[in-house]
Amino acid sequence: MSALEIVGTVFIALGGFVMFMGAVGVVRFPDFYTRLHAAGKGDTLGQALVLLGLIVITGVSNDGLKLVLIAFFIFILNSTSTHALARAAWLAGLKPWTPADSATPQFEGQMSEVDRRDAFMPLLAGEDKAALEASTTGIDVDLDGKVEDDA
Amino acid sequence: MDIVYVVSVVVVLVGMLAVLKRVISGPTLLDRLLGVNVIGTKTIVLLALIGFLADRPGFFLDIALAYALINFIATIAVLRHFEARFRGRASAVTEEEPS
Repeated sequence: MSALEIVGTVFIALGGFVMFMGAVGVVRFPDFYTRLHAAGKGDTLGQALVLLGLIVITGVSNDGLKLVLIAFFIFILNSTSTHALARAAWLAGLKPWTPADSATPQFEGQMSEVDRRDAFMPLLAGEDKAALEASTTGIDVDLDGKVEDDA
Repeated sequence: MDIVYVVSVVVVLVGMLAVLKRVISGPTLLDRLLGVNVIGTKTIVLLALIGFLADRPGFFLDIALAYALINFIATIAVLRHFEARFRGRASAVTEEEPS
């Protein structure tokens, strides 16, 4: 193996590790926003490292240019779709996870049954939603004012 | 050099299987959409690695480039389609509608 191939192999191994850790985060994190965090950052960095390793191995050629284009596109497109997913979840009223919601009783002693139930149902009931809206009046979440309710 | 590509392909495939668990059993509809998006990104890397493994990188990289753009457009299209229905109604995200 030449020196360039060794460097490329190191980059590919690093990228594979980061992508795998991102997948583990998507499976194991407690709510949608934390999973989005793992997926958005882990996948974007992981694919960039793997493709960078392939670029180093390939060198300057047609294939290298295509790899640069793919990495560049994924950097923009992955960030955009992550932002769109987070925005859709926030506009729907999905409640972000806090350590108090944790079902594992390792933060503040034993959890009550209500807390345990709420941790497994991370969506807002009517009063919780009103409280959240009252606490976030500084943030204008209603972007264009046209709320279509077909219920 | 082939062993590097083979190991990377296996790692990416295991990651895709793990995310597939989230797609199947995600508590909310947005979780499933996120899982599909992650699997699409991993597919692009998989295509690039398989191209180098098969010694025909140009052919596979063209497919990967097209797939990257289609994957993004699919996610945005589904989100635009559901966004008005989701807005302000968290129950619409969880309750699976009969299709």
